[in-house]
Amino acid sequence: MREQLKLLQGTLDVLVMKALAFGPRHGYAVAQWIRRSSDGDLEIEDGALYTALKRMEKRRWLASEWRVTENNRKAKYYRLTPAGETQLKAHTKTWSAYAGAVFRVLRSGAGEGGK
Amino acid sequence: MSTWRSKARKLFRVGRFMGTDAVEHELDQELRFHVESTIEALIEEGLSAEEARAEATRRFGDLGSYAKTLAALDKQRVRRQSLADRVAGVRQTIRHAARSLGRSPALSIGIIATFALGIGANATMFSVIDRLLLRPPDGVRDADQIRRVLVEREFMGRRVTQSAITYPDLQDLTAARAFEEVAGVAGPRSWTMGYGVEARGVSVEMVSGSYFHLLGAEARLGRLISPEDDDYTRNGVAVLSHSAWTRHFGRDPDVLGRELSLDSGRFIVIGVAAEGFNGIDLSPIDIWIPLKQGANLWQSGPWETERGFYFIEAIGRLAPGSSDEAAEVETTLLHRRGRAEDPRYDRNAVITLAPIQRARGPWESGESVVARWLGGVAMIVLLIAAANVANLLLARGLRRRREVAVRLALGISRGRLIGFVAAEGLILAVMGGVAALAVAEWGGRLITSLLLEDVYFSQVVTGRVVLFTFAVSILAALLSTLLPALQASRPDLVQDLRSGNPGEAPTSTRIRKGLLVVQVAFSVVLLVGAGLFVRSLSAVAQVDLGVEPRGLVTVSLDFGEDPAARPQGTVDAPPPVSSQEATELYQLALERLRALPLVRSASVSAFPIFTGVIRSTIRVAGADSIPISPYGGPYINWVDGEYLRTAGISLLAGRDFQNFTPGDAPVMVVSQLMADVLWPGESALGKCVYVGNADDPPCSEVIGVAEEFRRSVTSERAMQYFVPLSRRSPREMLVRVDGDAEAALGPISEVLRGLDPRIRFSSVGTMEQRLDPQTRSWRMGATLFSVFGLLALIVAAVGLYSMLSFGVEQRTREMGVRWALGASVANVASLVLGESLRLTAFAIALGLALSVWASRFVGDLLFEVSPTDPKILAGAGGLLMCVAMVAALGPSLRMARLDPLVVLRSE
Repeated sequence: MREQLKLLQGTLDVLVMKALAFGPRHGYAVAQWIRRSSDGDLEIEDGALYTALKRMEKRRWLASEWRVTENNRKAKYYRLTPAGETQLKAHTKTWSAYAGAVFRVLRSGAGEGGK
Repeated sequence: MSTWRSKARKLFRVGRFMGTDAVEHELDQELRFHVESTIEALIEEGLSAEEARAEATRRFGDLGSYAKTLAALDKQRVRRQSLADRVAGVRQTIRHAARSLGRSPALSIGIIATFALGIGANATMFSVIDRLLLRPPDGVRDADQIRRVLVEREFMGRRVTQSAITYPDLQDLTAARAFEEVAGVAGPRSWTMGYGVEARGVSVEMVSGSYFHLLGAEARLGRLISPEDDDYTRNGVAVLSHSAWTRHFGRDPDVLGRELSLDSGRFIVIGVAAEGFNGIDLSPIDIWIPLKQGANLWQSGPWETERGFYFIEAIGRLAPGSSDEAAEVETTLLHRRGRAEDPRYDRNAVITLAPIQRARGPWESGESVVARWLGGVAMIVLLIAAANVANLLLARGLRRRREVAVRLALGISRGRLIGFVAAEGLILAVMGGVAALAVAEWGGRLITSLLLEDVYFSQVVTGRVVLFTFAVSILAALLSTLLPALQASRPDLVQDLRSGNPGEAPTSTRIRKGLLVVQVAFSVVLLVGAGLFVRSLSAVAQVDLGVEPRGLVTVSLDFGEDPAARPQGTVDAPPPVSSQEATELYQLALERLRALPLVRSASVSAFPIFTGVIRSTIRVAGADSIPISPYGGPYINWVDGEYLRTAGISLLAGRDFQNFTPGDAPVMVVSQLMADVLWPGESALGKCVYVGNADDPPCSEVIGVAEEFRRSVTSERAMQYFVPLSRRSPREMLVRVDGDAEAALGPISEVLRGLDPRIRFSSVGTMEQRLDPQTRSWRMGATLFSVFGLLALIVAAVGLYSMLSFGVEQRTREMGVRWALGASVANVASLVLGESLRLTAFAIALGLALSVWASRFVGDLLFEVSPTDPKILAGAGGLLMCVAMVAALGPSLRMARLDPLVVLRSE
């Protein structure tokens, strides 16, 4: 269970950064984007999402500022910093490699093992 | 809609967990927006308000714990950010300041140069004072625990403090429990090392076996002298100083085991001391040898057992936990016990302890007193420099007033503005400080090589000097930016924003005038100081010793034959050169030297000049005793026939010994003082004096009266008499040469070098070199006071000039109006000139008053000059007045040449 959570945390960072790769968004928009992009399969607590945002902001991967939304309400917008963009690229790469490797193992047949 | 919102607000009152902090408030707002947006979206999807709220809560997770985590993260970020902001702010300010300084390079360079000189003077003096007074000798561990042991006792009716003790006294001290360790040191002595062409003079110190261990000294090579070397039955050993190893042995690592001939002894090199180590004193040491092995070459007598050979100085390292008082009491008891059987010795002798820095003990040298004074003088130079910089910055600040006012109107904070001025000052001072280190390195080398030749300086700019320089730079920055910063932050906005050239605010003018007065007044003080020292120096130089030092060379010979040059099979040490041989060798040397074309005359004496002895057996025919004279003496010296002429001692009456031959009736020449004391009101010629022990005639007839004779520059005239040299062997040769004595040293040494194998080494030097240390403290004072005084003068002149130029600039309009109203060119120019001269005169008066007040403290350092010498005071004041006039002339003329029409139109 703990293993899964840890994995989820690292994953969450990449997802959040990906959400911001298209431009500044507020936290609610990030949550919405992740929910929609995964067709609701990824169930992430909003609290965890904000923790990820704040943690990455502290690391200066993200920067934030208050802006006015389309509905004329004040919201805090996050955006990727140059450092964040570098991180996103690096994370995407390792994640793809990792996921690919796991995927290959899962797909491999029993016959191959017997050779 | 509003109901669920307020309910959501109530539910998500994050602030409940976080207080009212701004960070928490923001977080509260951010999360509230999130939850409200979620609820709105859910309601749009068809959920009831109640359901939507429940779902939003569920989606968020454990709000309480998340809120805490998020707040903590935000706070960390903000803290980090604010620090980064502050750093960035400071960097930006510094960048700004640097750019602004770059825009007026001439001013910046001028200020940096002013600082470099002001701070450099301080760094240089600190370096010297640190070496002479503050810093313990290099290479010594925990020097603050080491004490010099001094004896205070009654001696010939006077209370004296002496550092020299005897070997048995030293042995007594070693029992002290208050000391962890006690060591003795004797010397340094100038000895000859080696033979023939390799012979050279070295400075040798004799130390007890515990010396190096007590000091915690380390060896660069081999080992140092240790207690088992306190043994003269063993082979003699020697430790080289790092500088001697470098100079005489080219840092040869194979020097260990080499045999050195020192004086008439042989010593094997066992080690080289660490670089920089020079023992407990500052006069450079070449070689250390064990006391027990070396003292036999020096002391001919039972120095080890009898308490009559005072030649050792003792040091001790305080045991942990023991105090100076305890150590003094204990060692005093030990010392008195050891001396209990000596009836002539003072029973109330007391041991006192002094720090390892000799100058902090009871005998502070003239040099270090002068150095301390010069340290204070350097501080004054810095004050003048800082006042000048402050003035320049103030003037520039005034020119920039409109710019500043605009900035303030645009909302820049005064703190930022002050920070900006401070940053400017700091940049200038630190750059000045860096340049000052170069000044100190250069100045320090100059001082040490010209004025403090015999003080061991391993390094001029040490870490301590760098630290000091940095601290002084900060101080200079503070001093010089305090007023400009205050001025910048308190402008009269309305006044400054108005167009046109606003007049200067009266307070600011007063401040700048005040700074100028400070500069000029201090410059006067320094010039007076310089004058006093220069006068002292010239008075010292004019002291008539009775001899003419210019063109005089002194030569002393060291005898001894190289054992290696003796025939095979003779293993014994060579027999010492007899006094008969020595006399012959001196005669030989005299003949050869007289043959040199540049030598005018040459002579020998039994005692080096100025060092004759008092003979207690002297009696005057017809008188019971020699009258006790307050002048000292009478001193006797045995000299040959050429001596008086060679030394430049002129005869006031009678004749000298030129025609004296051994076997003639004994004769003498007396100094004028001696003649006056012994035969007041009579002619001394023909009088009869018994010099020897016996009462029987013949007595020595006085055949000449010589001019006054002094034994040193500072001592009173002495009673001195000369008798012909006959049986005694010579110890010193005087050679008078044509032209420069310095140039004659080479040829003279050359003649002596190949003369005879028994002449081992000749010390050849000029008389001026020998007299040099006597006048050094005045020379140091005169040189540095003059340099500092000149520096101050230049800085003050620049300050005066810039102040006046600025004043002209500021008052151009006023002058234009005056002019337009009919004032003449002369009127206008004299207005400017008059004002500046009035100010200068006031400052000079202040400076003179300050000098007179301060003069009472320097009286002791001066030589035959009154500290309130009116000529010097007038000279210093006059010089500054002239400089002020020259400085004021330019701006005044510029003003006088202004075209009133142009001035008025420019409004």
